[in-house]
Amino acid sequence: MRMDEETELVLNFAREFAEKDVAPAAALIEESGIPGELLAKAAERGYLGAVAPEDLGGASLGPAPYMALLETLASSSPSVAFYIMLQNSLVISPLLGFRGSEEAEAAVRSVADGTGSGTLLFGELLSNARAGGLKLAGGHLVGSCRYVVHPSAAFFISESQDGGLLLVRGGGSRKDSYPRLGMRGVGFCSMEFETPPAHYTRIGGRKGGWSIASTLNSASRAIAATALGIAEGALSRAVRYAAERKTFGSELRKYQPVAHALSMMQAELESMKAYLYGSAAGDAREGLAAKLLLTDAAVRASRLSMQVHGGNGYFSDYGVEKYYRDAMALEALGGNRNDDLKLLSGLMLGEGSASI
Amino acid sequence: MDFDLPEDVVAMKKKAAEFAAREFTAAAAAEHDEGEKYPDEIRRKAFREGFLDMGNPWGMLVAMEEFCRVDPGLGLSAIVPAFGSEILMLFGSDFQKKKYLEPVMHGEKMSGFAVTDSGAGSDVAGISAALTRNEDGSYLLNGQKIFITNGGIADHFYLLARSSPPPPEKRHRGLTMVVVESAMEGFRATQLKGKLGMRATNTAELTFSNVRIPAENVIGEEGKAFYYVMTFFNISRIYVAAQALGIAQGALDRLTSYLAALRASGSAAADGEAAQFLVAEVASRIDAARLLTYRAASYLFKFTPDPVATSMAKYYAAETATYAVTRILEFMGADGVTTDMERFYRDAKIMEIWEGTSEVEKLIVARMLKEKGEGK
Ligand SMILES: Cc1cc2nc3c(=O)[nH]c(=O)nc-3n(C[C@H](O)[C@H](O)[C@H](O)COP(=O)(O)OP(=O)(O)OC[C@H]3O[C@@H](n4cnc5c(N)ncnc54)[C@H](O)[C@@H]3O)c2cc1C
Repeated sequence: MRMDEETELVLNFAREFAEKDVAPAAALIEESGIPGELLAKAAERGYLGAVAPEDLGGASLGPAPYMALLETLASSSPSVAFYIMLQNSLVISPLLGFRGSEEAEAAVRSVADGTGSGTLLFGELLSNARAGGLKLAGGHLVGSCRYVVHPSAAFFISESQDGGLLLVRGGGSRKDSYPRLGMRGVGFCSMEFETPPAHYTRIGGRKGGWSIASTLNSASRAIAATALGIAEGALSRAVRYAAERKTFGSELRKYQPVAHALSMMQAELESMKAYLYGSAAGDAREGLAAKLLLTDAAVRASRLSMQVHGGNGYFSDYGVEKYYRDAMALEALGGNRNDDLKLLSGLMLGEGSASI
Repeated sequence: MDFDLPEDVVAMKKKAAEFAAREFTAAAAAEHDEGEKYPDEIRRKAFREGFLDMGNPWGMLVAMEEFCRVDPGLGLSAIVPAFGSEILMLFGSDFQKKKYLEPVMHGEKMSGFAVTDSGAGSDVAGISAALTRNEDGSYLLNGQKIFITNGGIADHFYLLARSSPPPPEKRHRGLTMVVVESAMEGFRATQLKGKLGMRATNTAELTFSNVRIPAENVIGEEGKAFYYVMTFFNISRIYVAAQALGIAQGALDRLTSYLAALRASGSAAADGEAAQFLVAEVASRIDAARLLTYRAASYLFKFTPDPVATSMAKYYAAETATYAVTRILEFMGADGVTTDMERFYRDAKIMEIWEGTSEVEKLIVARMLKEKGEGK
């Protein structure tokens, strides 16, 4: 697919970063999280503040180069792409809705230069059972959050009932840790909050417009790009393996079922990629469709890659099983699939669709 | 035709379900998965309670299913200590049965079955481990094997090696199976870590450097072992189908309780038609896989195995396991990946790979049907 000049440039730099810095750390990332050193390099390259404007220390990337960045990193380490997506689409983006607020701008700066990462408390939206979430009670922010991604963040973003953004800098304690299917480079647990007024700031409010749900929806294309990278990473390894591995005297790619499955998957990914990059940045319908299509494609591509690799694929040293885990983790952490399908049906077929 | 299991099998199924519920606790399952640790205590208990009884194949089959339904890694580990035994039961000498099979049947020793090497898995005849004959009639074994279940913990292995170069176009000739003891000089096992799933099972790479194999350890006839391996797979694949059934059923059990909890919490997702169809589609496939598996088992246990029925069952049940865990996890989302459903997802994938990949099973079905069609 042809990209514009800016995107090509970002792509080339991202590829270099993926090969030189991310790939060698891949095993370490799976074992013990993304090393601080790697994050510092990502900050230096402007990736942690990719979508932030330059005056706040960001790289001010447009939508296409930003997606290309995530896609490229995900094909090498889905965890690293997911982390960068989190910092940009789920932390910086909502903060940028409150430009002019000193606290919001300081938070963006700290994320961009790597001195303080953030996370969005969006976990309640992921569950089919609506429970939990933070409430203001007597000036204190209290409640439990069932699914917190990147709990070691320096600050947490939540919403107040009147459309304001809450910047929480303390009072949270970790509770249950979860089995780590995927995105092992990024932490995941439940948390309990009991935050006194001194440790949170309320930004904006009473004008409406901002919500955690709308932030997650606007991240659809970024999540889709991450899924695309996972699918491409898994598939390209399978294609390479099928050209090398011989059984019964022939390379795997000579066998029709193997070749058909790989080439059809590649065709699917190419067409979805064109759809993703061709979709309009503000179009909720296209963004959602791209996310649903690509997260599903990532699960299937990683399964295909596992199968082509036979026994080898089942072990971490071949570097394919992580796509299988991460693709499913991305489906679970990138939104609630049942809600997203309902939303998409509403947008495509009209209000009230998919309600029974 | 009778679709009901006989009473004694139903009783065994119940006993296995109770054992699994008692022994395969959430903590034990998580611990052995995280630590990639074989559960030796569970193996002993399962043996004491009579689950490893080759004389009761239906009992073993339903126990495998019930065990994997609760936890696939621990479940398989409880029954796998005698892996490969059918080889000696069918083709072993009295000496071999006494020396190697009996202690395994008494729960004192463990066995393994070693075919795959780094160059050949599906292509069994392509293996490279080699046996050369000494003047005194014994053999020297050289080469390697990978992905060998029980590799680091078994006392002996039924191992396939090449004993003579094959005639052109007859690659399956010249393969010989021998019993190799892990205590023999020149034998080395290295545990392979970092498996996606089934991490309670032990998997190792084996290397052999001039391991001396006495002549009495040759199983059956020299050069004929390709046939023995295929015969063994026709048995073991039925047990893999049972593992896969257990995994799929376990996933469905978890979906059912999840939906009940959602319903109780007043969530609309619990009774939407999407959830209903998911239940119906997964349940239908599980039943289809179970019928295929029990049919293949009934042929085998009557000593009239049907390789077509066996390969269909293994392929379809394996696919059903990955289908069930994937679709259910997609529905559950974050509520699923934070539970043991995530382990089922990791464990299930191996079903489509070991004991003959799904592709290999399809090739067997097609080849055998073609031969039948041609009246061979
Ligand atoms: C955890 C684990 C435990 C295992 N335990 C044992 C054990 O105890 N003993 C033992 O001997 N082995 C064991 N194995 C090995 C296992 O049986 C093999 O991995 C399996 O048979 C596949 O072989 P392979 O890995 O060499 O894949 P390959 O044969 O290289 O196949 C790679 C891919 O190509 C496909 N393919 C190959 N040929 C064709 C064709 N002609 N047409 C279409 N597709 C084709 C395969 O289906 C597969 O998808 C184990 C493996 C694992 C992962």
